[in-house]
Amino acid sequence: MNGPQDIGGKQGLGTVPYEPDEPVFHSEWERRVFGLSFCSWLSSGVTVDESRWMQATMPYERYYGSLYYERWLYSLERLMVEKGVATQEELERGASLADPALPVVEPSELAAVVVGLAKNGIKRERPAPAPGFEVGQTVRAKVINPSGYDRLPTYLRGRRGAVDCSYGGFVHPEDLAAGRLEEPGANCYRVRFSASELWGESAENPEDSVCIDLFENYLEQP
Amino acid sequence: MSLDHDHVHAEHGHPWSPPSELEARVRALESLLIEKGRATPEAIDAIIGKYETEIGPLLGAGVVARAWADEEFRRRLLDDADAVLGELELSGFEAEHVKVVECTPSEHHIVVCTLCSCYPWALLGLPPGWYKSPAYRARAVSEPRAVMAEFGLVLEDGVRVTVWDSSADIRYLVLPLRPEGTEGWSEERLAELVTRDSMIGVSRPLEPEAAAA
Repeated sequence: MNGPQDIGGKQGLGTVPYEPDEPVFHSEWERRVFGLSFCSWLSSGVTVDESRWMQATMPYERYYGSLYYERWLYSLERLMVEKGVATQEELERGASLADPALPVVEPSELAAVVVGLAKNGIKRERPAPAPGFEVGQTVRAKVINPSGYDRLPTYLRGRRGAVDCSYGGFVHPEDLAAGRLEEPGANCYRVRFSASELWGESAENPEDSVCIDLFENYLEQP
Repeated sequence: MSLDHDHVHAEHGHPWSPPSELEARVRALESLLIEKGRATPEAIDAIIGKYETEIGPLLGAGVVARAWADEEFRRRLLDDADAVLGELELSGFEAEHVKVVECTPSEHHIVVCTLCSCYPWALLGLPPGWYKSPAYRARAVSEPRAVMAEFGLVLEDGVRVTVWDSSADIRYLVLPLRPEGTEGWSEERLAELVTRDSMIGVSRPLEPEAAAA
């Protein structure tokens, strides 16, 4: 979806706002949203891609008018409703009106589980069919315009690049965003696009390039 | 709960004060999800503490310093970062798969995530506000040199730039050029020169005199 999140190459956004000696969190509410999100994703079986997708569907004015952790908060509220954990009325009251399904993680074990996740991560490698593209091959990013979740930025669509590396299979983020955790893996490639292919005469330097990791369904033979 | 009305928030760059409505929403959601067993105060505090005090750019700086000091380690890190970082127990959340990209006298690297804010958490901690800002995410791919210039980094003639747009499962760490005048330095001293921003690629490591100061 070429929603508000898909902003690679957009202009008119001003200078990069640098803050010297920036703290990890700016205020208590940001800390709580971070901690609460991390816990609730885990205990409700929410994937990071589901949260990304929820943010991509935010109205433009809300996406750009929100601070980073406000977007997390929006996403968490909506996901808890979508997952059947809470109702809109409960969100407004801040109190439970009905018992939801049991959480995926026993609350008494949650602290240990979230810390374990931060330390150990979660591997998404998954066997995939034989790769359809080879290292060194010229490929084109497909021209697509899906209304659902995707990880092919608009600025690459229709552009030619070269396969730089073939990573093998991973769970496809489109599956993760839809909560389909058991699908077969999909091949992922690193593709290098020259700056002049992407930006034409406006490229800062024709020798520059952009490398990006793209799944097989986003690529075709040119 | 403290309200910091005065600071300039990095994400938008203008004076900002959180609306109390926002804080109320957070409190309501926290109470509700604790009541429903989806979060506990202990787990929330534990994960906040992890990223405030343990998982941060010092971890990545240690890896870079070791790569500068130890040629065999550097070679293995560039060849198979996952194996090396796994041995060091640094393959955590949002850095399960890592590619280390090495700056050379002829090539410079800079990392961005245009679609969200993908970042090697387990090596650098949570990303800074500027990295998550629409301006950086939009411009780093189309005008990386202009962005770097805003950070004070102007490359020599003949240095090409590779931008790494993190869009799938692999996270990127920049191995910057080792500053001159650091021959014979220990890993610990070298690590003091390695800044977070130099591992994203928007600036160079500190110069030796800066660390001595």
